[in-house]
Amino acid sequence: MGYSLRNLAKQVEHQNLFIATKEINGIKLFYNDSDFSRLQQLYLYYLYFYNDLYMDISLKKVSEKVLDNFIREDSYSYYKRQKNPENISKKEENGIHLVFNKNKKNKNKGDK
Amino acid sequence: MIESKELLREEEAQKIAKDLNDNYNLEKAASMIKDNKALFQYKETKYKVRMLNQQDKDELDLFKRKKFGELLQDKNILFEKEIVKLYKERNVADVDEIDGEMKKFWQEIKDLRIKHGKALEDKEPESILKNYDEQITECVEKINGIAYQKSILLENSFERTLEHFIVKMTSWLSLEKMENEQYKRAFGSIEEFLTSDEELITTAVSFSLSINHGV
Repeated sequence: MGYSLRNLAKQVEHQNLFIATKEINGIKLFYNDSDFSRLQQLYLYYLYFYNDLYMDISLKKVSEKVLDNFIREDSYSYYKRQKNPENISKKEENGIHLVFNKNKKNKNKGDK
Repeated sequence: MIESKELLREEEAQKIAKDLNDNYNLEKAASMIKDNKALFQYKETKYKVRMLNQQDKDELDLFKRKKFGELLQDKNILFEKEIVKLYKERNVADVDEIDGEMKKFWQEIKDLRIKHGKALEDKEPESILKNYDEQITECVEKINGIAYQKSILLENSFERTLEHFIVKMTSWLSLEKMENEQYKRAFGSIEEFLTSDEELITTAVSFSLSINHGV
């Protein structure tokens, strides 16, 4: 199931839907609004995970080769988080965090 | 010439079958994510596995407490710690050493991931990236082997017995079958569920693990 969830969240269609739910009111990912199952939580985690990854690819921080397999994706993600240790709390390291902390430098760059 | 053509056809057919299977799995997963339900048919009966609601969870809690009490009073069921100690005393296995090995490999993976991630960021050549792919895969396979070894050693512990019980109970509580155009609990008791068809049990447990445990 884990692999299926990742492959789904990685797909462009699912990423587009994810972005749409964030930007347009009324579009939902799930039939339920609360009490999310573990399955749904994992799926959300991977949606954020790949959203972050695609962002880095489009900003040319990393090549598309990172998407060749899960090992590369996990390595890059782990490397990124280790590079910015101030954004990781002990609790977050072991749990599923749905909202990735933005690096303070990036936040300043991205702010309009 | 004919043989190689047949081989090609067979390879192509296998690839198509794999793609179909992968697509089927993806579609099934997509459907489960939306509403936390999995619908399937078994021997002309329609079934549904769904997420436990609060009433189910309360029921599960009652069963869990009862089972916990039963297991606690059974002197033949040992806790993991006790089993680990016994294995060591009898020179059968050293579970602490196994844990140490796993920790070592996990650290190796973490170190490799940092180098791998840097190599990806620096857009190193494919040969270097592939080298890291292989090294990490090797470590993961070693950890999986060790983890499997450990799970076999502790299979009959108190903790695992209770865990298995919860998985079975959750599967039973979440399985419904279609009767008179309505879905109702498929089996009246856990015993009925566990003595039903093996294939039905396996399918129900598999879906329940996905929906209720995210596995």
